[in-house]
Amino acid sequence: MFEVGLIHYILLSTALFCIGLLSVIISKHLIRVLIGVEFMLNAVNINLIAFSNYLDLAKLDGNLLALFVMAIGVCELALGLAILILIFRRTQSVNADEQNSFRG
Amino acid sequence: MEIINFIIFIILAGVLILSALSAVFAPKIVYSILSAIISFMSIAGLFFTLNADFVGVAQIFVYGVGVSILLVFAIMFTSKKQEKSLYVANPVRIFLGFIFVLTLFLSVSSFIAPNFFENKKGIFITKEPTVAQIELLKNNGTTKIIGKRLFCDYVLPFELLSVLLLAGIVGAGYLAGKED
Repeated sequence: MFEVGLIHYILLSTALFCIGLLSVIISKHLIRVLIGVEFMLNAVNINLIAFSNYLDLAKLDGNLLALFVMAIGVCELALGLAILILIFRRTQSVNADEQNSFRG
Repeated sequence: MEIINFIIFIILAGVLILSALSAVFAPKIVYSILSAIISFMSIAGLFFTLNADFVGVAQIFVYGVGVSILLVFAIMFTSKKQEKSLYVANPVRIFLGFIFVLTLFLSVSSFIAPNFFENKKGIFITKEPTVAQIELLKNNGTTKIIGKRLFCDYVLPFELLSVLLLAGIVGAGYLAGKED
């Protein structure tokens, strides 16, 4: 009963992914949307490292993939925040519902 | 020994889920970012419990320090008196979002839950590590294996990633530093 296995980590990362998806869907602030995307990437990282620990301890492919995912996530966050600052300078608002300048 | 691992896992997972929920539902954006930093740190703790010391330290460096400074500077550049109107969306969208997310969570966990309650290994066949691997991890950690793999098998994605990071730096600097 009190043994931590792979299933616990899979359930935890599923819950974290769902919280990130909820943040992306319901929040109006653009920074909260970006934090939700980061939560989803971190849930993927937990899953990758759990499988790497329980199945593949000799070669550690999951750790390498988690490093790549981490670097790509940070790159995406930096570009997203730069675009957010540009949007704020142009429209004086960070509300995600008001950004409709592509509507034509 | 198993009970200690279980208690540590429960503490880390509880802190992670609570702080992630508080990052979504906190009334102010500053509290939301602080909760996000706490949850990134507890994710690093989970990596340490999974024998991934190099990735855990990289998580602390990258997410606990770099991303949090980036987020704090972003809210400093974009702060105005608009906290109340930016809290969460209208109730219909919250309701639909909750239904969608709960359906996703239940449908994924219904695959896992029968094996979870009977405490079997389930559909995932786990391999026990050999004694030599455990000794290697106790003495050297994972850094040596990761370094060898990164510069032998994964050298092309590694170099492509460095090009991507350079493009990210140049693009972010150009976008945020442009004067209208």
